[in-house]
Amino acid sequence: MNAASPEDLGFADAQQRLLEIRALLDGVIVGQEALVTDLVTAVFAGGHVLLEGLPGLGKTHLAKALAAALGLQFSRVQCTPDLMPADVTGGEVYTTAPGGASSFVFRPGPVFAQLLLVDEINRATPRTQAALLEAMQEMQVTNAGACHRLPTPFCVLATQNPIELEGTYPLPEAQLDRFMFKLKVPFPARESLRALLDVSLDREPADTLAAIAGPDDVLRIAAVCRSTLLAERCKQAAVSLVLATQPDAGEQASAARRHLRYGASPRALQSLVRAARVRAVMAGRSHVDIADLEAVAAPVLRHRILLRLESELDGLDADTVLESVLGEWRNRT
Amino acid sequence: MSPANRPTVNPSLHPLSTDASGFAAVASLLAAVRRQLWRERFVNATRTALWVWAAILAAAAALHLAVGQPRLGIALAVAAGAWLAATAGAALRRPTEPESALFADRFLGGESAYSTWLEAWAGGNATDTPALHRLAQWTAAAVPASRRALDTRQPPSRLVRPLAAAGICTAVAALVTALPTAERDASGEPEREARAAATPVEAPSLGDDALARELAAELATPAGPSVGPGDPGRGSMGQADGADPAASAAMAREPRTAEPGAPREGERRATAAEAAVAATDGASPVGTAGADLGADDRLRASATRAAGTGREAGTSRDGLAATTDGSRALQGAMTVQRRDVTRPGDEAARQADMTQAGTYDGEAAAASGDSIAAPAAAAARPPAARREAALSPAETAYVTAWAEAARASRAEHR
Repeated sequence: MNAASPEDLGFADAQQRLLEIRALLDGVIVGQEALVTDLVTAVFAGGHVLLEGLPGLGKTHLAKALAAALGLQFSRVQCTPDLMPADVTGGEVYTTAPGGASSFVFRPGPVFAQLLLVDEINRATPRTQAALLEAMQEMQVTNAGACHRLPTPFCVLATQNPIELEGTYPLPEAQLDRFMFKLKVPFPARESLRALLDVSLDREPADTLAAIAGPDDVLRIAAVCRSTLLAERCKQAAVSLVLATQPDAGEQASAARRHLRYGASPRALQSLVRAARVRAVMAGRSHVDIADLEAVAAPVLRHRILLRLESELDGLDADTVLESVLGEWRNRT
Repeated sequence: MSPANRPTVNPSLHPLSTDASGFAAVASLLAAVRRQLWRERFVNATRTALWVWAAILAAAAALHLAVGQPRLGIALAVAAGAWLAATAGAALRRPTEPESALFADRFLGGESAYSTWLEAWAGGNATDTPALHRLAQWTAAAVPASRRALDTRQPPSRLVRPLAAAGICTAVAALVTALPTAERDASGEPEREARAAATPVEAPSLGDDALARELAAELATPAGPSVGPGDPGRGSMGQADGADPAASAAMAREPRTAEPGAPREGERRATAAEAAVAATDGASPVGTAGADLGADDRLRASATRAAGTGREAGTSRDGLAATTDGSRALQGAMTVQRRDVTRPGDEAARQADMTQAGTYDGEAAAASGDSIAAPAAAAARPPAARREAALSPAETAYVTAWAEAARASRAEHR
């Protein structure tokens, strides 16, 4: 094998940067390695992330640390029922120039950031939630007939509390589908809690975090990830996985037939492959493996499947059903 | 590497011709995987064919036991055909390159690299990209580990059990298919009858006059009750052991309860015995005696019926409770007769012993017009015994003496 060409450094550098970013965040967010890995995966795959967890588990802290590590412009929106769409996207304001001329000028809202943290998104009204749809999907904001491009990279991290549902507006399926990943923030283990005291008792590590990459690096690494090779076998496997979640498809898994009302969308298929590519680069490969698809299947699919009412009453959740679906899919592939 | 096993990937097609060594390593690995897959496929087919072989021969053996077909040669031909078809199919189905790459990806740590590698270069449409360079590096680095995994992965052939099953089933089938000829010879009715007819059946014969005189003297001797009144059970056992079949059957046919006007027990037993004797020769003096004593027609019919079948001797408790003198004389006479026919190795004589009563019964039924002769004759074979039905002079003398002794005993009893 010849010496590595300069092009090879792209994959090697991308892998190195990804591993460094992950290690940095692991030092800040103690005991959440899997969560950090998934978060980095989603950001470099160009997706948005919905974080679900109890209060005090460090969701906001994680978002701030990620923005600091990547050197991204960060903004935050705290959602409340009286939050208006213009409070998120921005709006036109009447201004008077020093010369005396007055005009309406578009003032960008907090959505015009590279990393947007939408805290407790389910407390915003559906109207405000819908204001995020265009931004998340089209990467632009339309105001008064004018389109305003969002900065790149653009990533939305939304959080929601799974227990305090009174006075909330659950996200509709259409908006849930905009999120590439839905990550559950688990409660830390005992050792992690102990280590947390050493890391963040008297200071906020995210505030002092030095960036190890910039927006350009993020874009370059994302481009490298997009160039990852995808064999026909992996394409078929990804398609099979999505079809396995369809309760009425011919290739559905038995668990999907029993417990699911709706399966994953074609957008889920795209998200699956894009996220798997980032995982492949993280593993130092320029080709996607079935294992990469399997690793990102749960975060990609868990908020895109809809359980039957009977299954929910039986105490099943999406992760349990997905585990069965993945088991059958693994045997098929 | 044989030309047949060489991958069809053309090294000149891939853009990274400088990675020729890595390319050759991957191609060699895929060829080795292909060979092993082929070998495994052939072994699996052989194993399946052996099980099919065993199943075919077992089924053939079972079928042969049931209907006598097919022959061993046909079963072997079918099994061999199935074996040949399975192994030939496996030999002709050569694993493809994608199958080999897929196997390497799944089981040799390929992580989909070999499938991607094959797709990238087999089609010849790959472009020089960093991803391909990285893939070439990755596969070249992974080949040694995959090669080691392939070398260590030697699946067991597991041919012992199917081979043993096939051998056992073949042996069983050969044994079973060899059986029917002998079995048919042994169970064939015509041949058995022919053999029975060919074997002369000697009727029991008393043989000489000395023996007849001895028996007559024994009969003339006043005999006491063979069994005491207080010991009926033992008496019945003794009677059952030595009784003539006809007489015992006659006693078994007696009514279990005494009817008003019916002869007493000893008299009745003597009558049955005489009737049995009368069944042997209707023209003899015994026949007259039987007519004299035959007040009870039903009893006589019972005697003849029992004598005809010969199957009820010793089975009736009534018939076994003998206390008369006449019964002792009968017992002694038949003891001699039985001793005569149960000599070791005289199978034909034993058979004749069972059927002699049937011969007598047929004649008695014909004489009395009773309709039971047919079943009696059916139960008593072979007809060779009929030739010996006529009593010898010694037997005639014995029967005459016995009848007189019985008459005297009855008169004395009265």
